[in-house]
Amino acid sequence: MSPAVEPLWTPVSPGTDFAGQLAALRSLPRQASAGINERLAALHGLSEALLSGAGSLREGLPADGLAFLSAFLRQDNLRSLISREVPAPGALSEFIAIGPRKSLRLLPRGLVCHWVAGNVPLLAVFSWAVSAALGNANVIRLSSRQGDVMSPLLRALAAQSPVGRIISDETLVVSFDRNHSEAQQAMSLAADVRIAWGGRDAVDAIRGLPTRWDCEDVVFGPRMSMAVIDPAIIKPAAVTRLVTDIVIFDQLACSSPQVVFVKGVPGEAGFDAFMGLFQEAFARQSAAFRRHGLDFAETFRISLDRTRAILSGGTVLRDRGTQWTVAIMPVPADGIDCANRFVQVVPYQSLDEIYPFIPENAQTCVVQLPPQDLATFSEQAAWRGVCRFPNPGEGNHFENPWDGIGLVSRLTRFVVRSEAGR
Amino acid sequence: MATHGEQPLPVQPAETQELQLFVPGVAPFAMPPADKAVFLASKLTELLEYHRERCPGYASLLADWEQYGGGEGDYVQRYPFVPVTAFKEYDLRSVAGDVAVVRSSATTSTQASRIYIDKASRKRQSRSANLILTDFIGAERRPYIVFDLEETVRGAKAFSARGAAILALAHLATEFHFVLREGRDGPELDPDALHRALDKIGNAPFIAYGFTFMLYNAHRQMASLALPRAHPDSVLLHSGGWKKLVELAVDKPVFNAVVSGPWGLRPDRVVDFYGAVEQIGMPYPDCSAGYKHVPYWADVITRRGDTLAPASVGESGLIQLISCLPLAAPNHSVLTEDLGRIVRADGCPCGRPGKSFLFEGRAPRSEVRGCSDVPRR
Repeated sequence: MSPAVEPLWTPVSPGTDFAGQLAALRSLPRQASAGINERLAALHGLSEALLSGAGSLREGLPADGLAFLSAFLRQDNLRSLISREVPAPGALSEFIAIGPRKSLRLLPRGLVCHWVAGNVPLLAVFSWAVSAALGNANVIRLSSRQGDVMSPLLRALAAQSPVGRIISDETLVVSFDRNHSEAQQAMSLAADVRIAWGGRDAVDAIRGLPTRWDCEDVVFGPRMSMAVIDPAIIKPAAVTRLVTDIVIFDQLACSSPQVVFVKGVPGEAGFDAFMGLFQEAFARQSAAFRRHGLDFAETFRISLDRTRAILSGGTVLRDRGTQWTVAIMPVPADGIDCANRFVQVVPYQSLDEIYPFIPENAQTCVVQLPPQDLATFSEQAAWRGVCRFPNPGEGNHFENPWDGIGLVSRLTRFVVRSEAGR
Repeated sequence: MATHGEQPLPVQPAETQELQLFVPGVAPFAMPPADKAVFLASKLTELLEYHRERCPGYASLLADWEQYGGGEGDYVQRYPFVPVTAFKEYDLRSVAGDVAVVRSSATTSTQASRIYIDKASRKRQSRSANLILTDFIGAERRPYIVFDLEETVRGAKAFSARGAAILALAHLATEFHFVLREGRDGPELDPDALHRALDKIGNAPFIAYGFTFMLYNAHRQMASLALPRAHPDSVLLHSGGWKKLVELAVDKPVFNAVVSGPWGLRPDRVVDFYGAVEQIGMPYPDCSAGYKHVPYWADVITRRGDTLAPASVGESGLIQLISCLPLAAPNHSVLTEDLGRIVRADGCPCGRPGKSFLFEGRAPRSEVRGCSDVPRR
């Protein structure tokens, strides 16, 4: 018996049960419905539509994520992300010679199922776009606690072009409670690729679902991020961009910096000048980007963490309410929850002081360092687990690879052919 | 009916300095709100400076508070607070030397609060609890049935939250009867001890106390016992969390019926009182209208989620507890993780003037959201 799931967006005739929808979608990518170039052009059209705010497209989409999404969907950006990983992108369209006797062809894996984190729904739009560009069919399960960000996009995409219509027809959007085990299992069993976004509990639950033996798992799980800044080379505009990286998703994204290591010592001119700019930017950007309403436990936690910072010997810079907090700490305090615009600043004099504080679940390290320091630090920090070293302002820009995972190779089948006649 | 409102209390003997906090002849809930505001502002200012001078950690917190302000509202609403969890993690004390430490129940948190209490604070706490409870259940001393183990008040255990709550009623007791024993799955009813107690008490009115869940469990077991009807002036008090009872779908009316039933008492003889280990000496019993009241030496503020601004009357918020009692540690103003609601600024049907409020349980834990994580090392 098929689990009861009411789709938010379905290409299959209304009334078809969930299992039937999954089966119908799974059969789609076995035929080449549209080529990579046409698909990239259709997604580019969606980017244009986002910029122009056509129709009701902006409804239901977080304003601060629109710019990210629009930039991400641009044709040149998607091509660049693909070519970073695939040396012969032409193989997405036809067999391409990759050596004297071998040709390569990349084909979609099939049905890609996305489980979306509750906090940053746009991240799933990113993985959906890459997957759709590569020709896969997609099922997107939104959290029952979040709004439907996908249907407006798919409606606009379908209206853009015939290929846009094809892509939207290859996408099913559903929302059901995480405890709806029948629906979870049906979706998991249908998947050729499972993409799980979210915290530890969420990704563990998805990984524990039954699946096909050859299903590929892409887990964008719980991570923490940081920044390393040399005040001697950072410009005021970059300070604002750094603060935007911290503020924009209320630090609920894995790529949001939680600790900022700043070269110097408090009381020193360079350090203090940076902190002045940083504090000003925090006040400004916190006002510019609306924060989600904190529940009682989150609100209590801010008060508690400010208290912890002070009682642990730190200095707290903050607003008069609960909007933002900068705690200057001698060393990172792990017990302090760096969420909801609460960041720790830790002074350092040598890069060697930072390495012991890079956790095993590190993801992004926003950097603004002189070239030699950047080379030294990125090599050392990468060995300790950091996956990305973006500039200030790029901390939350979804890119490929992400979490150290090359997405294109996970979402395609690599087919090789020996050339005849030799 | 207990003494409250305009009825003067008996003249008290000469006070020691630490007890000068209490105004002779003024009942706990009788001070008019305007007078109370002036009284509290004066006492709380003194207390703030007292703890600032003696507790360096608290002085640091005050420096932050004074730089960034205490937000909006009147003096008490702008008064600084310390989140209760800080007492689990930091050694906050305002007196040196050998003082007692009260610890919160280990069952409610992984780490217990450590609240320092010196002799002067203990006297204040005892007087405070005495005045408050006398106002609700009368000053007459009676036999005291304790739904707990006797060792809960022996030795170091007396400084547990349970031990402190039991002893808070000691001044009302002529004799103690502990009626639980250690069972395989924790404390359980000792029917023999209960019967011995009832034989001794006879038809006299008694008081009884137990932690909420323990009292409920014991009375479930008592339902099958043939007990004599209790004197109608008897009262059963309880405090503590409702979490386990909520899981059993037991609400307050059901609880009161289960607990009053075996005694043949009216359900309103079962009185829930709210309190926190960080504010010993400050029980908040339900009045006859089902609300809680604040004596003149204390205040209760509820604070909104998101902003921590004072919540309006009728609006749920995090409970901030303020009292003028603590001298050994800066726990005189604490932000709890409990939710409550000010029901009226004045005019409770029970007749007590001033603010009345409801305790609404522990604030729910945040839903874990997103892919952000804490550092894993």
